[in-house]
Amino acid sequence: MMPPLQFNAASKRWNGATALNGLDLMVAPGEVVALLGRSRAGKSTAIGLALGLFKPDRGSVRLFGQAPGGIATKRRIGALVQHADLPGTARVHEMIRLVSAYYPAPMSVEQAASAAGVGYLLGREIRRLSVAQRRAVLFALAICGRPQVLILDDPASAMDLSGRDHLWSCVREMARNGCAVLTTSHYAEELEGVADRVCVLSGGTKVAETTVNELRAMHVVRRIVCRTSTALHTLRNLPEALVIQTEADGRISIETGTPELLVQRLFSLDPHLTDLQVLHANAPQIVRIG
Amino acid sequence: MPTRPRSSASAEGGTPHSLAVPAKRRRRSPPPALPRPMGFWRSARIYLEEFDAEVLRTTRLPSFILPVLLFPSMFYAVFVCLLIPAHDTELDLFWLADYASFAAIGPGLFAFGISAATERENGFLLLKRAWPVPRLAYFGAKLAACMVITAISVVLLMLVACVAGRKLPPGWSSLHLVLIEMFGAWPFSALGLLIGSFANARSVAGLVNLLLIPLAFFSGLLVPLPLLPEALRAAAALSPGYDLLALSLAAIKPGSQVSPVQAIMPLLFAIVLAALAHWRLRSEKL
Repeated sequence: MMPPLQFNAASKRWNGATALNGLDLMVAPGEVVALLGRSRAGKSTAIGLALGLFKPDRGSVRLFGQAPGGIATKRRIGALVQHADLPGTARVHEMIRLVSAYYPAPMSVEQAASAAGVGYLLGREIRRLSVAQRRAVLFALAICGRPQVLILDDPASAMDLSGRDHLWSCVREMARNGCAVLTTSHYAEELEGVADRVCVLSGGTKVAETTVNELRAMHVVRRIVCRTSTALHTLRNLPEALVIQTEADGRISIETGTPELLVQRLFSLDPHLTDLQVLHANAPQIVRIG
Repeated sequence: MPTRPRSSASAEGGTPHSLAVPAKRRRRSPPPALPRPMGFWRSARIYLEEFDAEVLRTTRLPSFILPVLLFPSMFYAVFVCLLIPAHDTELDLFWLADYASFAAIGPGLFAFGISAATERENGFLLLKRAWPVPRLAYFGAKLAACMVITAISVVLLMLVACVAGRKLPPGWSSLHLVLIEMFGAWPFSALGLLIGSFANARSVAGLVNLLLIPLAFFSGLLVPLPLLPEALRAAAALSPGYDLLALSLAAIKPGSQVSPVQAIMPLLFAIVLAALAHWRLRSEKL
């Protein structure tokens, strides 16, 4: 059966620089695939190609077996691009009604708003909304047409924890209903339980395609945060420390592949160390190590 | 129809209940079905919704709508009704055609220029390209809104002329003038779109203002062309406002002639400028 979304060695260059280099990827119905990577890794370029906003220089992208960009194909997809905002004078319900009109069998305005968690904002003007609320409204616009493929570029950016939870549970629910989802994110943590597969991009090239858990197992990187009196140059000389940063609140953040050893060493250097936290590395850190 | 119990996430209130579907549809990987084709009325609804949205957006911006609607009438009242005595029918009709043509410049330049620049910069135009909306629906709605604003502005102008006791063209000619000005808004809308395709959202209003007066001047709308030096008169032929004025005069002034070239020039300007803007907007990247 023809996959809803397929990249075949898709490449794109901008002003001579490689943005995407031979990406091979397939998203099946009911599957959530996440593109992970740092800024300028090629995630938004891949999304733009999938949406038909521009054409690949080499290779191809297929939506339901066809080149993306045609109106008939677009009626089967829901889209959210990263740097997009809505006209400030429009009201939320007007925008959802407008975008719903583009699709052959859309949800009702109330259904789409409630699914995206913006039901309480329906009568509000877009310019009165916070950035996170606007993002949620954009998500409502992406799902209001009951798409068969959902293409989301960093949909949860600027959202708080509950907003993110709601968005990802909605994405999961869409996938359970058979929708193929391609999304990007900076955070591997939030994709746990959401993404079936993760495609890690670095410098436009796919460096891994796996699950979130397998990705973590491949690159066991932890971030240790603490308040210590040990001098920064001493910490930098520790063999276990990969990257050291000073946080805004004065705490020290150290990335390491051997957290147990590092914690022992930190306590030996400063027995009065406080505010100790051992955290999972986030996506950019994983990608950097990868 | 019975539905399966919600998932655990749903029980916690996190799952959007409105997405719940009947049990027989809740399976992991159903084959993607073709959507129902859009019928005529659904397609027509897209155009109507776009127009409705555009009118709402426009009317909610008093800083745009009021000057565009009222300035031509205000200028006409001050510079014609107050300063030029009403005794010459031909002159009355000339000034009416002149200010009606001026009224056709503002809506397109401002509406397209400012909204295109703003929506291009904030990514809304990119989003529009990702949505299944015919490009004609979006820009057509904007253009239709500009044409309606132009028509209202010209009608206001006629009301002022009527109140001031100026000679008005007969009913059909007045309607003809309104229609000419509505279509006369096309090249200026295309010019506004072109400006909006490259200008910064914060500077576009200034840029359009800077362009409006010279455009009106070189078209012979502010100062009649016979009063201008020969070189400027030659330059006027390059402005769509010049051809629009000729068309407006032909609509209401008996004996006025317009060449076929002048008749198609505004349309030609509109096509060329819109094509340039289209090319510029298509090269926008994420």
